[in-house]
Parts: sequence; structure tokens; C-alpha cells
Amino acid sequence: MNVFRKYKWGGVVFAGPAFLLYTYFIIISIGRSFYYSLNYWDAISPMRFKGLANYQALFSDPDFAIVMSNTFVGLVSALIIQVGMGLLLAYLIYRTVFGMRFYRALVYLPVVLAPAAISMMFTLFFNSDVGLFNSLLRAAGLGSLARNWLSDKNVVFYAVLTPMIYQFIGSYVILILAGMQSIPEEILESAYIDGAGAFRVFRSIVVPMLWDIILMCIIMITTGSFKAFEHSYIMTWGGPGVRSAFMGVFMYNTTFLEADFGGGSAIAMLILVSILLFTTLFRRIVARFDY
Amino acid sequence: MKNPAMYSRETGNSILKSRAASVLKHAFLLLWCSTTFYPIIWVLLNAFRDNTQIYGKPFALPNPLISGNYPKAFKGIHLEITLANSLLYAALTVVLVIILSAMSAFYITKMAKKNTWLYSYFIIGIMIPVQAILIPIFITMRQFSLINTRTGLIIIYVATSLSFGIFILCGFMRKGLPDEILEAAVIDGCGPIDTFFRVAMPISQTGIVTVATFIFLGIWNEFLFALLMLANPLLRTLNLSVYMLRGQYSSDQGLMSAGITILIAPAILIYILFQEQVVKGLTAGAIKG
Repeated sequence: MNVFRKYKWGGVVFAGPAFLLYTYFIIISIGRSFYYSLNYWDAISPMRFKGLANYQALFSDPDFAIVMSNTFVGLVSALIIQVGMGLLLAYLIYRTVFGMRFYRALVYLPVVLAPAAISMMFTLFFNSDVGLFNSLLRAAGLGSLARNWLSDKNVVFYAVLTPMIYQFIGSYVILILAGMQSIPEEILESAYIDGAGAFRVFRSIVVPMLWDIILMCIIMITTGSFKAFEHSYIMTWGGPGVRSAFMGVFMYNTTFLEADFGGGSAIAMLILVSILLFTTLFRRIVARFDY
Repeated sequence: MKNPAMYSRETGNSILKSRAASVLKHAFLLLWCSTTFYPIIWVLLNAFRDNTQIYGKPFALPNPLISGNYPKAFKGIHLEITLANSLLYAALTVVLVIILSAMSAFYITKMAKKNTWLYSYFIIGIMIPVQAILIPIFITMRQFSLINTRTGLIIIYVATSLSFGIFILCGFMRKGLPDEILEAAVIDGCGPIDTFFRVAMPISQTGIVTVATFIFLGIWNEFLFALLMLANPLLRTLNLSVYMLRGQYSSDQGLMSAGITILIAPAILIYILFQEQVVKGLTAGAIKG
């Protein structure tokens, strides 16, 4: 029984304000971004309609090719490392009684810190003179491997990718751990009584029962990779050139540094479409594994 | 939760094996935790050292203790103003998002149970990357002269946080807010507005605290919109002003370390106080049932 049925004004009063704000700033904005992406525009002089020219320009821009490849390499590395470490650490914590809450708290710690703070911390760590990484290398007698991490164009991409992946591993550990804890105990109990070892239980029971959660992690990682901004912007501004730029940074720099609002909008639309495409693709793949 | 290990058959050899496995497990977990914890300690120690010390002995304790970094950092980031700004932006956003999204969630889950499109419509927002809306929002803010204003930034923060708030609170109200209680309130003569404020809101407290914690941390740590909107140093967030500090003093490691610790200390404090809520905010959507 719906006791509020007779209040016809309910929707306008209760959901109206949120609906208007959300519709104008989020939904309509997407449409406007698409419209801008079809124009040449520096946000000062009038727009000039040019159809798909901004997209064509992007696909023939060698910088954009580097940015795309950075983004995809970043995405694949993040998927492998974050899901892998997420499963491993979650299972180890799950099998721990003494210290479980302690480990969980520390593993998640970097996630609650500002990405800007983590980026500035890693800028200090990667400092070529006084940074932690070169100091560790020198202390281990590997001084020849010491690099100018943030300006050497051969390694800068990995230096920027490291904190991006490192910072959010904790999210996936917590998600996967919560999933493990929701697996009925009887199932695991009977497996152990039947003599299955820890690894066997992990592979044959825990992982198959967690496909939903793993899919959710994959979607979060995909979305995160395409919109990643802070680490790359703060550590290197995406440079040198676009060596350590990802699509999110490239979009910002194109729009606000080069005053190319049409081109920036085109990149924004590609980010949106990539996210939708990849999440659909991963959904399909996981659905195939999910019996 | 019971320890799964206790179901394994522990006889002779296997006890030894499981002991070794347990030691390995703890060693690995401790090693990983040190990578999340030690960097913070290192930065904190460096806040009391100068470049010469950091360069000479990277892992040593401060000797002598340099006390000048913090006063210099406080001044450089205009601590009293930017801290107040960050608190204000985060607190106002939390209050507005809670009210707007609790009202919407109440309508969706209790007043308009049959139409589900509104819920799906709001939830799409969680998937939308910020870049897809960044330029139009910037243009709108410029049109209404809201660039470089507190109002402009707070409007953006509220609009972009609504989806998450509605998502969590809908989930909470479906399970945690029984229809019978609302019916009883209506029979006692409450209209929907009374029922919402006097019955639904108090009962939804747990869900509200979860949303509040999560959004507070999100806004505290937000960087992109603050960078885009705030050129005036007196309106800047703590986050942005520590970043700006780097422009001036990028080579002064002790000073930068002090700035970073000022920025992360409140987030760590909130995490310690509201750990359960932070974890719930993350897992609420993922776990069914």
C-alpha cells in the first residue's frame, strides 16, 4: 500500500530540485560537450561549425596516438596489478583472524588521501637528487639504475603510472574482501572438510563466486583510467611533450592551455565513449565466465 | 567471522606447513602495509629536516630538528583561510547533498515505487567521467560570473555528488526504512514532509553518515574543479594551495613535506574516526543482500 499516492505534488517538491540540478549540470552538459566538439571554438570568438573536423584532427595527431597508447597501457597494467593484488591481499586478509582489522585499515589508507597529496609525495620520492627511490637504489648498490625519473622520457610514464596504480589498490582489496566475507561459510567449510587446500579453495570456489565484484572492480578501473587526471598533471603536466599524459590530462591541456575548446570537447566525448564501450565489452567477457 | 584455517586437518607435517604459510602470509601483509604507511612517516620526518639532511642521510631521523618548515608552510598556503575554505566547501556540499538526495531517495523508494526510470536516470551520473561535463560547466559558470566564487564551486560540487548520494540512500531506504513505520506516521496525521523530516531522516541516520563521510572526503580531496574555478588565493582550497606552494618552493623538500602533511592530516583523522562509514560507502553498492 502506498500511503503517499494522493500527494501529486510529491515528485516536484521532493525530487524536483535534485532533478533540475542534475539534469542541467550533468545530462545537458554531455549534450553540450558533443555540440562543442563539432565546432572550432576558443571560447572567446564565435563558434564555427566544422562537423567532425576536430575528431579527424585528433586521429591524425601523433601526440594523440601517444596519449591513447599511454592510456591503454595504463589501463591494462592497472587491470592486471589492481585486480591481481586486490585478490591476493584480500584473500590473505580474509584468512587472517589476528590483525585482520589492522591490515584492512592500513591497506586502504592511501585511498583516503588526496590524489594531489600522493602525487606530490611521489614527486619527492622520484626526485633525482634527494628522492626516496634513488636513495633506495644507491643503498642497495644499484646506483647505476638511478634516474631522473620525472624528466627522462624513457621512464617518466612508469614513474607517473606507479602512484596511479598504487594509490587505489586498497579500494579493490576492500571490495573483494567484502565479497569474500559474504560467501556462505558452509560452502567453504565443506570444501575444507573435503580436504581442499587454501589455493584450491581460492581458485575453485572464491574466485568463481566473486565474478560480480570483479566485474565491478574492472568497471571502476576502466572508468578511472580514462578520466585519470591529478597524478599526471601534478607530477609532470603530462610531459615531457605528452610522454606521461593520459586522455584526461590531454583533454585539460588541449582545452585550457591551448584554448581549443572544440578539440577538448572531442577528447571528452572519446573518453565518454571509450568508457561505455569498454565497460560493455568487459561485461560481455565476464558474463561468459560466469556460469 | 571464523577462521577458515581451523577447518583444515592439522596433523604432523601439515601443522608445520600451515605455520610456515601463516608466517609467510603475515610477512607479506606487513611488507605491503609498510609501503602504505612508511611513505607517510618519511614525509612527516622530512617536514622536520632540511635538504642537506634529507640528501645526506635519506632514512635518518631529524638531527638537528628543523622547526622552521611548518611556520613557513602555514604562511605560504595561508593556512587559516584555505583551511576554513576547504571546511566550508566540504561542509556545505555535504549538507546540501544530504538534503537533496535524501528527499529524492524518499520520493523514489517510498512515494513513486512504480516508476523506476527516475532511479536509473540519476544513477547514470556515477558512470559519467568528469571530462564529459567539464567544459559546459566552465562555460555556464563564466556566463553567470560564478568563476572565482564560493557559490559557483559549491553548486558544481553538489551537482556532481547527487548521483552517489541518491544511489546510497535509495539502497538504504529500501532496506532500512520499513513501510509500516511510514504508514503509522501517516495514520497519526503526518503529511509527506513531516514524515520525511521526523521519521525517515532520523531512521536513515546510518546511511546519511555514510554518504556524508564519503562526500566530505571526496570534496576535501577534490582538485580539478578547484583548479579550474579558483584563481583568487583567498578562495582556494587547502588542496590547491599546497599544490600552488610547489610552484614557488619545488626544491625545498622539507617545506613541501610540511605542506603535504598539513593536507593529509585531516583526511587521516576522518578515516580513523569514521573508518566503518568510509568502507561502507565503498562497498554499499557492490555487495548484494
